[in-house]
Amino acid sequence: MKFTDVISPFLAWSRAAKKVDTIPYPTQKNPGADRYRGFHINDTTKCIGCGRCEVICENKAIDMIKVEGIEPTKGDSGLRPVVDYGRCCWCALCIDVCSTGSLGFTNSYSWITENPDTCRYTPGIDKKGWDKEEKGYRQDNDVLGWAGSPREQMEIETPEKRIENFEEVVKGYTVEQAMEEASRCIECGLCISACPAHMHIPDYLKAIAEGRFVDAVKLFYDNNPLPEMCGKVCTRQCETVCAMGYQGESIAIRWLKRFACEQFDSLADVLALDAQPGEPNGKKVAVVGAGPSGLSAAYYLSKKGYEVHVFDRLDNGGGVSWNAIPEYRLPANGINKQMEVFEQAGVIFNFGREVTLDLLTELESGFDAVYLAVGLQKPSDARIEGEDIPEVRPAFDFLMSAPDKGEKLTGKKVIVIGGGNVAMDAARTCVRLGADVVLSYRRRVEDMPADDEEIHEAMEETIDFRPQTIPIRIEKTASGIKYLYHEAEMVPNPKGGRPRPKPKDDVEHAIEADILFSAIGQSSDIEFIPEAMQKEMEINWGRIIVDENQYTGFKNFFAGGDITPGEGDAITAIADGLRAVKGIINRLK
Amino acid sequence: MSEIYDPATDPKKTTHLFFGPQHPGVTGNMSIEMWFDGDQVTKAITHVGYLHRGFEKLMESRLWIQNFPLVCRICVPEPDINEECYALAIEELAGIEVPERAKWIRTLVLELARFAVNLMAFGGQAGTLGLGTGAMWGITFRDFVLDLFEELTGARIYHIYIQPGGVRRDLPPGFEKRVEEVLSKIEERLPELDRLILNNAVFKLRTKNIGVVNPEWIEEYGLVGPVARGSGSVRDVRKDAPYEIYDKLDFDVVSETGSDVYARANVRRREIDLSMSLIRQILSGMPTGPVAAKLPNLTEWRVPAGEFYSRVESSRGEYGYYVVSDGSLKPRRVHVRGPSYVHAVPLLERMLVGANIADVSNIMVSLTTCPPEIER
Amino acid sequence: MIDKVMKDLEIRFPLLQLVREQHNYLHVKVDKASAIDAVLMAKTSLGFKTLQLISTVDRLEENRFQMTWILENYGTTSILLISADFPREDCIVPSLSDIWPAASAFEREIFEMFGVSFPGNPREGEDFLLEGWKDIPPMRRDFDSEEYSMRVFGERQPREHTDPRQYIGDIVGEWNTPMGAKRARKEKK
Repeated sequence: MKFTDVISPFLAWSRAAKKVDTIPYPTQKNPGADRYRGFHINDTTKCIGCGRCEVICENKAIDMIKVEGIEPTKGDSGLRPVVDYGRCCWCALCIDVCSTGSLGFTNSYSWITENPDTCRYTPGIDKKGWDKEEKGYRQDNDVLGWAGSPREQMEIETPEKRIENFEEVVKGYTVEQAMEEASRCIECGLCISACPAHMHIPDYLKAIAEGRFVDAVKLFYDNNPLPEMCGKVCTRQCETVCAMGYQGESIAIRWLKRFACEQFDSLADVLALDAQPGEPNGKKVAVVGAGPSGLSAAYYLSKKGYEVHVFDRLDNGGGVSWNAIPEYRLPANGINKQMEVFEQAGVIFNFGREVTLDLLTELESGFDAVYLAVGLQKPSDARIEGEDIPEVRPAFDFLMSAPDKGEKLTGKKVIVIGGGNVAMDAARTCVRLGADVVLSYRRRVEDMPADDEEIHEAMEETIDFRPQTIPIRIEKTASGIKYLYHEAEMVPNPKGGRPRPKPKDDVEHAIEADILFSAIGQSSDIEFIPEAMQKEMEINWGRIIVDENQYTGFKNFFAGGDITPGEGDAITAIADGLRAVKGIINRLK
Repeated sequence: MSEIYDPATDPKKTTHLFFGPQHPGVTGNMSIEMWFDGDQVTKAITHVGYLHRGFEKLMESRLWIQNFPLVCRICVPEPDINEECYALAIEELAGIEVPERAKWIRTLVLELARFAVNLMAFGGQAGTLGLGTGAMWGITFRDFVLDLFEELTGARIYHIYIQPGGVRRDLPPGFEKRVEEVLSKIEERLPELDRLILNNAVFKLRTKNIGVVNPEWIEEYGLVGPVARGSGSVRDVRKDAPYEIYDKLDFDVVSETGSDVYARANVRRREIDLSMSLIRQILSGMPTGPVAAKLPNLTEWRVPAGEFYSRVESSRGEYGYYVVSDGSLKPRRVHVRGPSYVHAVPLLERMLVGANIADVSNIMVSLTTCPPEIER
Repeated sequence: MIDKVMKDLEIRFPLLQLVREQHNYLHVKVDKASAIDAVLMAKTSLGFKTLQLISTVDRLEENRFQMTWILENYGTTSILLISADFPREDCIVPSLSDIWPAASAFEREIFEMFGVSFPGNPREGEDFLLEGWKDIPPMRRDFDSEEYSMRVFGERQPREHTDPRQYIGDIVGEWNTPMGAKRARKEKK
């Protein structure tokens, strides 16, 4: 013990003369740090109501509720999170996993209320003083990647290799990749709202993630009897609304469907008792057209015990979807695997039957109900001067003619007009046949209705894209044709909607070529319907207008697929088939 | 109660008293049942259970990631060791590689937390003797460090910052500079704290040769941290089984041989200096790069089946998590092993016998007993 | 160093299984009859003089308790975990409280939380964490804490809540047409 030990504690008194460290509240404000985890804010226009925040919240502080003024739409459940601050622990997991990044914390941490029950509000809906606060903890998905992750990459053939043959471009997932990819699903169910057939997407993704591939296939067949086809060429509206697609890449729902189907050599065996004709109820239904819509209706009606006869002018099923889509996207040899299921389910097929007035009259009297799913037969007119030159051919007919087994186009120059999937298919088929292809489209590349992946792959395959080109006329030349066009600029549409192309100037540009394929859409041909029937139905621009049960309004006639107005893709046609099944069952009761 | 006569609890000779659970001299909510003869303790029994919230049970019903906001709550002054320990076990089981920069940031966070808790514990030791100024100063210094945590993690107390595969955010711009500012400010004032506490005649009288921990007990009881190092041990997980980047830092384990309360206070005081030195080393050597490894979908994350006992050095000593996974979405079992378990139950019960009643809280605080670690 | 520990243990306990081996970290599993022998051997002849933890894992599906003793060698700073399975019914495990004073507290906790009995622990049954607990030991997997809290403390007022997926399903079912699409046939005049 030293004497200084007695003195030294008293030196602490010198602190009394110094500035205090305490913050004199409220004269001096003490805002939270830039990253402070204070009260929630939510950008309700960005929020899609996926409920990810509710799932991750370990304290059950977040509930998804219906809010006034936000209606459910495709890709938005219309629900918004409400936060209970009696339970919230400000861990910020909800913010780091928010799939759109709409949720955030502000640096406000003070809220005084007399009633503890009001310590609960819907951020963004209930107005709070901190709604506009810039500072606070916000998502940083680049660091964590919890809100969205990249897709599992599958093997894709290189452009140089794939233009040499008609082999499938996409190789498909391996088992590990598929399980990994499927496990990215957060089971919000937004995809169900976007899928026209409302397939059980989260359920089958979970089945794939857990390696239960048989269950996955059974789930597909619950409301889609053509999963393998959809797994390859679906327009995948589900993926466009996928919550994982906002901060990362949407889940490869289409490829996973394809993967699960490819795990089995026979889908009929997998389904076994699930795909059997139902107890016969003595009623007969005729389905005209063996495309996706007709097949769907036939399959589910047959399972319900109806005697279903399918008529098609082609020699096999699948319709346009299977026969016009080129081999490299949808190999024709896969059709038998799918058709086996229909046969097992008791559907009776009449192939090679041309659909005529006589047939329809016969069906009217011989069947209890008729489902018209004939699709679109006639290529639209291009309405360009010179389109009757023989070298100007409809792309659709070309694709239907099994071009991979037809003539080679080596060294030829081909022009394709259009920006849809048919245009891409025609252009890419021609490249594979050895031609030099130019693709002309009126609007911009981003306006093309074709699938983004299709466009991207087409660009890789040396196809010369000429967007914003307005056709003027086609002239016959000594060796072939000459295609003349104006270059276009985009002007806003006075009626609203997407911008319209307008010629930039009077300069006429020209391309010489051997063949021109026009792929500007299909129109319907309803000449096979007797006039008396046509009068009873409502027909608009050659399309049959139906109600929500696909009912035409004439006797027991139903219609669906492309012959009715709609989005014109396979999955919509399948959905029409499903609705028709419900309609027919109700009507024949 | 035992029927056998025990002179230590003879109702004719001894006073029977509960100390705690609500008492400013007790560390947290625990109580000690004591019998005195005069002012000398004849028998002591530690009672815990006032804070039991079933953390370990709750963890078994939550997703792996959802336990991070929970584990940090086991220790208020130093939550990061829990996050670190749990994350280390998950990383080991799931085979996650932590990016280099994340390791450095984690070490920085762990040292800042140790720095803060030692400032408070050192001041708190003076507080048990009625020297409230020391306790207040310690808490003030800790508050400066909490400002840094607020800036880095968004929260002052429960940071929830360390996660499997790294940390949740990078350092904000200019953070290194502000850490240095806080360090200098505290460093400048530490001599005042020394004069007030370590060089205080009263403090010396009340702590020297009080609460002696016999070095033989270290292995017998499994003593760790300042309790062991105050009795000549050089046990320190940072040195013995280096995690994160401790093997890249230059430091010597702090050790004193006094074995008494004063020696343990001195260990904590020197740990403060050590932490400052480590923080400066970390800031000067911080590499660049990513701060978090990519994790699978958090709600579908199945950590592969396995068992691991992960260890880190907390301010109170070796801290362990025994994590068992059965390959499902949730942990099978998480057993938290805090140093207070042996310090507060068998050791304290033994050390208090023969102690003066006025020294009970003094001894208890010098062992930094922390009931949440026992109860979980 | 850790290889030698493994070898020594293997000689004495041939049925031993290796769970995990790392630098200065060894986890082995022995049968229940040799568990205490292995722990004592580690203490007396392998230098693992300190008991860090006794832990129990309830393997309800397999009807067993997995006991784990975690030992530490302060000299070599290595960790040794010795596990053994015990049947779940009337589980009895020998006490180590006379070897290590720290064991007593661990064993008291396990007795309360899992109902595992440690004959030989003089303080067994003395209240530790759960004063006046009447139910089955709470850390057992078959103890449902949510059900317990509902039973004892009453149910909480449920809050308004809508599950997004369920909700979407309901809407899809109601509308019967794709969301947002206007395809309904016009009523005939």
